[in-house]
Amino acid sequence: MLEIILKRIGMFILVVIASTALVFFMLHSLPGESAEVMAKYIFLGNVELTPSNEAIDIIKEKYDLEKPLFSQYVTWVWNAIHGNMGTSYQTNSPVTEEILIRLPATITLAFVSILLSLLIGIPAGIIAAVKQNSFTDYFCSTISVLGISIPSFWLAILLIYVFSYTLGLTPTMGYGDFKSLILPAVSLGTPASAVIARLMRSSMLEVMRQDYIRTAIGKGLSYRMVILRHALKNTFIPVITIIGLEFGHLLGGTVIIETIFAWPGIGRLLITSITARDIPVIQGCIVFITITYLVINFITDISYSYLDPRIGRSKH
Amino acid sequence: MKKINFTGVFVILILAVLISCVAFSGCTESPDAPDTSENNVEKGNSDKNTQQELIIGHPWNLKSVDPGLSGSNLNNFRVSEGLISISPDYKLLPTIADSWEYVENSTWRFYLNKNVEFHDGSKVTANDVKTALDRSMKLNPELQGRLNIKELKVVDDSTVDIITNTVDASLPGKMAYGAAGIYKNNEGPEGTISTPIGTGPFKFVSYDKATDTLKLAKNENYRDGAPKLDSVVIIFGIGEPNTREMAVEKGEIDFTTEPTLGSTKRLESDKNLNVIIHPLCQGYKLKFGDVSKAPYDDVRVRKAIAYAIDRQKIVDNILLGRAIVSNGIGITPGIEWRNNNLTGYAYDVQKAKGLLEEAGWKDTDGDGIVDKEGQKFKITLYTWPQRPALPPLAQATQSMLKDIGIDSEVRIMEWDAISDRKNEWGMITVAGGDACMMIPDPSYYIEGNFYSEKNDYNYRNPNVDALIMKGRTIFDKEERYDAYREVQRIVCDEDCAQVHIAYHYHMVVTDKNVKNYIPNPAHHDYSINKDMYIE
Amino acid sequence: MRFRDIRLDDLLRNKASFLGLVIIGILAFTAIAADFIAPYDPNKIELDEKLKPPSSEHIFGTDQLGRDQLSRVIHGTQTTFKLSLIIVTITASFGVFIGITAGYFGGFIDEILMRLIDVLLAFPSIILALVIIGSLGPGILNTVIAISLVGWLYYARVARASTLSIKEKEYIEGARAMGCSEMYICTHYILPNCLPPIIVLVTLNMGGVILTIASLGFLGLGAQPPTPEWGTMLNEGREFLRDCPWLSVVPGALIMISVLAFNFIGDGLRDILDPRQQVIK
Repeated sequence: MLEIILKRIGMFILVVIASTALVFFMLHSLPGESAEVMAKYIFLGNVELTPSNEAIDIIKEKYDLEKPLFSQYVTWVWNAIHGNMGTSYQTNSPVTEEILIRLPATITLAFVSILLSLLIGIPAGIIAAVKQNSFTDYFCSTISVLGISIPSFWLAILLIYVFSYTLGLTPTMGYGDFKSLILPAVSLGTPASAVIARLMRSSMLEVMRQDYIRTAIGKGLSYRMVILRHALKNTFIPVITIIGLEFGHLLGGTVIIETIFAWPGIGRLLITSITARDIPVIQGCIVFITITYLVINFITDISYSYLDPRIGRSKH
Repeated sequence: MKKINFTGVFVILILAVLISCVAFSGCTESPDAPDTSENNVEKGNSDKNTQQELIIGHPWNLKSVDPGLSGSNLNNFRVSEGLISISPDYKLLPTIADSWEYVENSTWRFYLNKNVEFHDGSKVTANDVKTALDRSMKLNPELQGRLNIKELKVVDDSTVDIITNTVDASLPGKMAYGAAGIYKNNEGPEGTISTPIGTGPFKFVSYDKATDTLKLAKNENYRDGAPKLDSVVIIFGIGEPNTREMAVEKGEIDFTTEPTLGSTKRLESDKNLNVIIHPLCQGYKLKFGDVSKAPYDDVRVRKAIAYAIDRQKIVDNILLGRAIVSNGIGITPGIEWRNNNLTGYAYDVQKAKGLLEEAGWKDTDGDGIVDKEGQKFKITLYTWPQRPALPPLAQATQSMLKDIGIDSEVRIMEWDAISDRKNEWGMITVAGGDACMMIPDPSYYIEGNFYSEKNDYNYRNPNVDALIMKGRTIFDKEERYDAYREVQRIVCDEDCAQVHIAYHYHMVVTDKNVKNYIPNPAHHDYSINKDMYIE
Repeated sequence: MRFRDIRLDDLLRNKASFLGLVIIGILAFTAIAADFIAPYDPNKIELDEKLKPPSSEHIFGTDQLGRDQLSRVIHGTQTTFKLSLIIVTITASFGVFIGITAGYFGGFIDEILMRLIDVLLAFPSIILALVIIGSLGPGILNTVIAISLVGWLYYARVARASTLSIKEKEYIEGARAMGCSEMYICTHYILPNCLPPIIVLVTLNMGGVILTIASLGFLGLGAQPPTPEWGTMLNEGREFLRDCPWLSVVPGALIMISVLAFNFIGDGLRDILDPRQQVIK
């Protein structure tokens, strides 16, 4: 177990370094001189104006942009290891603060979307599997294929159009109350619930083919008992893996949805920072997203081996 | 096989989660969000307890509440004020300064209004003015360059001298620039201001970074009488125009700007809304990449392109009534120093073709694209996506240029990526924004666009430069404006340095109960008024 | 089950797959014959005809520049199909190559490649695409690059997994004993036996790629106007969502239908190839 954890932590560091380096060097290869772009956002607040050379020079000096890229990156890593993620060019406040302030919004949205997708996905998958080849099965399966086929941004637009505008049931934007959470959560949760429903159905079918289930039914145990007591536990293993993956996707997917719904989360912070070339904030977001993703995967793997002891022994 | 009731299980699960969701959202609601639900409650009760709260949905983000870093935002939302401000009919109004005069040796003297008080009750002194401007210029070198200020000197408690780097007749206009607001320097130990104190009719109450929401309250002691609104809430960062539009239609916000392009008629016919469309000192234009190089070093080619653009068609069909046709110069009609006697370039395809031919551009191989010395007239039109009218405008330009035999490709990218491509043969930027009153003085637009040392497309004309220098150094208003009017004639009618297409009109949508909003075309993009109220 | 055992009539018997095949057939035909069936020039600007609702003249109405929406979605089919085919071909071949190499040779190469894949998978792909396109500029070619850069990962994983199980088979031992080169074994024994799961993945991935192309177009980072592309059209139509909903509904629906069709076929193929999924009664 200790070995696994150590290996994981090594992996962690590798991934974080690789991805931040990737982003760092790519951002510096973006067209337009970084210092000029930053000067526009910091001093002019308007991208359509051209900053003066003095302003650009001041930015270069203040943020050490004249140094070679590699040494800039090393400095960043060194500071980050010491817990200093830098300050945002745009607002002058610490990156950690910028991220923490927006964290609740993103977490709330991702969490509720996952919850929603489980609530719809799991029962739909079970029903479809139990009533295999019935009308219900076809109905659930078709709906779930539809769910993974619909572009979430388009769904978001349609939902706003129908529920906010035509029916007036939900607010169009904002953050804070439950009502404003519904549409973004549905837009994000629909594809996820479809994925879960499909997986649930197929793993349920597989489990139900196992001998012990057949035996249990053969012994005359109640069908419901068999499904709930024996079959379900075993179907959850692959489902848990997919939940981990989906959660990671959600963190990335919120980028578009947060913009459409004016949701004040990490995704929107990232987009505005990319356009403003606010590199410390971008780096901070990338580190945050990567770490979250890896932590979730780690938890997934642990629970995986907990649910199915065979796995722990054979593979890491 | 026994049937089980999965539907029941399903319903119970759904209910359980709904309950936990409500509980969960209840937790997130209270501390960190000055949220809309609370506002809605207040708004719902507004008739009863006469709480007047205006909720504004703003398209951009607020970077900071520090007046030295927040640009024009605090001036526009009337927390801070400048020495001078600009009236809706483009006149300079005494604000913190009562009067001003040019003394000598690049020195302007400003006499402060002795009745101006900060929100904390203290009087504004010459020292406060110096501290605030010095601090803003130190934080923002761009502002320093723009204001052209060498130093500020306190003469006495209510008199301050501003010394410019060179003799500068435009300084009073610069003092009306939104980012040159006066504020109390109450910066904390880390050097930033978190509770701005200004002199305007609205006081800063709080700023919630998580939701990018700014709250203001009325300044009871405002020298011209307290504002009618009790409080103003500004929700920043609603970038999606559809969202802003639906939010104001549904009454979630009371005031917003620039809804979707197609919405004008529908919103105007909505009885619950007020729609105000007013000029804003901005425009749309075609900007040549480099006028010192082929093909644009030939004025006939530039003029051909100017004649090829059907401005009326663009205004009617793409800008959809939110613009008026331009006569060729980017200075909005109504501005005092504008030259109203320009000939301009009325749409004329035949003339355009003739000019191209005169310049040696002929279609020799019959493929519909003109060429000269083996070079085909194939160019790229660059534009950026942030202004929704720009991509369709670029595509319409593309089809109009095709009519005179110029083949073009449209590319939409970030502004910064475009400025990297200035050297491409024949590139044209299809530009929006193009503000001409950011600083209410003719030098702002004319120097930036046409002065040899300042423009970025290699436009050089010694006569223009001489007139611009004259405009900087003479203090008689009419004579000065005449110099600038002559510049406009040269750059438009003679040189056709840029192809101006249309003047932008700004659209404000408010709840029908919001009264007394007076648009100010010189503000970017809008500003609230002291006397606004909710009926 | 082997690749050659996939029979078309099995696929046709499955109603959903049949429907999927029909839809893809129609769309593919539309894409190929776009120039002949589109009633108008998709880029012909008629400003006076702008924003016309659907009518007999313009079945899907016209857009903000007066272009015929039907002709544009027809040509959009071409853009989308061409792009996604290119992307899937690149990613699948590269991914399979890497997967087989890693799986067959194992050891150090395998370890390195798999770690690399883990790293890339941990990275939110849409953000990577944003950064790549930000640095290269928007456009069709850069869309292909941005999507392909992470697209091959899944193929590599699947190919590696299949290779691992196939290389233990007796016939591989046999081939080796007969003196076949490693190269020959990989291309003649491993590759064909890897193909079935790859085919399923290709079909399902086509849908995913179409969605990603559309997302990038929607963000204004994909194909450049006036090139007709569904995501870009959706983005252009967003400004008129309320007043001219057909501009958003039509391209959005087409994206959904084509993704749906590929998923139907992919599901059908998987059912055929994976006998364990067969019905138990």
